[in-house]
Amino acid sequence: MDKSSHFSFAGILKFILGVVLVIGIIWQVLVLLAFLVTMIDPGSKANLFSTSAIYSLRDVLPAGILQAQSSDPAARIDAQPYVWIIMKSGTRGYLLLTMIGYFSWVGLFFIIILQLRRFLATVKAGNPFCRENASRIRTIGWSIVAAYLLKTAGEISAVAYMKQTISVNGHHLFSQPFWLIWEYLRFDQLFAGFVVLAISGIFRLGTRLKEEQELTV
Amino acid sequence: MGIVVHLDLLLVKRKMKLIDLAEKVGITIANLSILKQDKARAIRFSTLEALCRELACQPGDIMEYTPDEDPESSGADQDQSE
Repeated sequence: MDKSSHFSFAGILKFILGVVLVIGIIWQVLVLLAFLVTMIDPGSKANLFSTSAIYSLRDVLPAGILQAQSSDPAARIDAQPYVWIIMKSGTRGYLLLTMIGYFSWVGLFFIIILQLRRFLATVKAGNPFCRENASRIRTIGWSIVAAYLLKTAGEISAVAYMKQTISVNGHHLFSQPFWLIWEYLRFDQLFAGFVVLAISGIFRLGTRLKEEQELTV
Repeated sequence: MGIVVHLDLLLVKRKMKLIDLAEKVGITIANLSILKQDKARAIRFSTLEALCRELACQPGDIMEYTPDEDPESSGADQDQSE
């Protein structure tokens, strides 16, 4: 593959990431506004913060009409037979915790996109092996790891909340601890973060070799 | 100090310009400037041979080793040589 195809691919990818970034920012601003409205009035239609419990239907009897109850007085349950249970939590504390975790995760996502765009700019210029790129790739790697930890912590807390507060036909959700571990403690994203961190080490070495080569007469 | 390059002195002695030497040796003037300013990390034998040929000199005329004045760094150099 010649240099020009590398550079145009980097340019196209950089453009796509730019579009994703702009759309993502606009979307997150709307989510933030919805969150602020929900904090004021949890029962409003702006409450986007629902938690789906579709997987829980595997361990409850699906026949008949589902009767869903919640011990959380602020929660409202909308039960759809055989499909999923959508819980719209009105608990402000839980909402705030969810949003802190959610926007932290979004922030890391934006950091990854920004660093990746700057990296692609150097690839497009034909100079990917530089100290800044090694640092950028390391930042991306740690952001992936941090996002994984935030996501996992958020999902576990959401499951713990639903387990305690919601029952369907008298059965509490997520009654099998093994299912919880299997479904949520997946390490693929964590592994991806470590792979990216390893690649940053390769870039650091490549930068050093390039500098030595440039200073070899 | 380490390796000190005396290319500028040789150019004056031979009455040669850097750009002419670079053209005769076959490297860019930017690369030769790196060598002249003591910023080079390494030099190829082919380049050294070409320099000696064009300047009619020995490698020792182009560069010399000067021990570091700092006793701590000279101790580190001794450890590396071992």
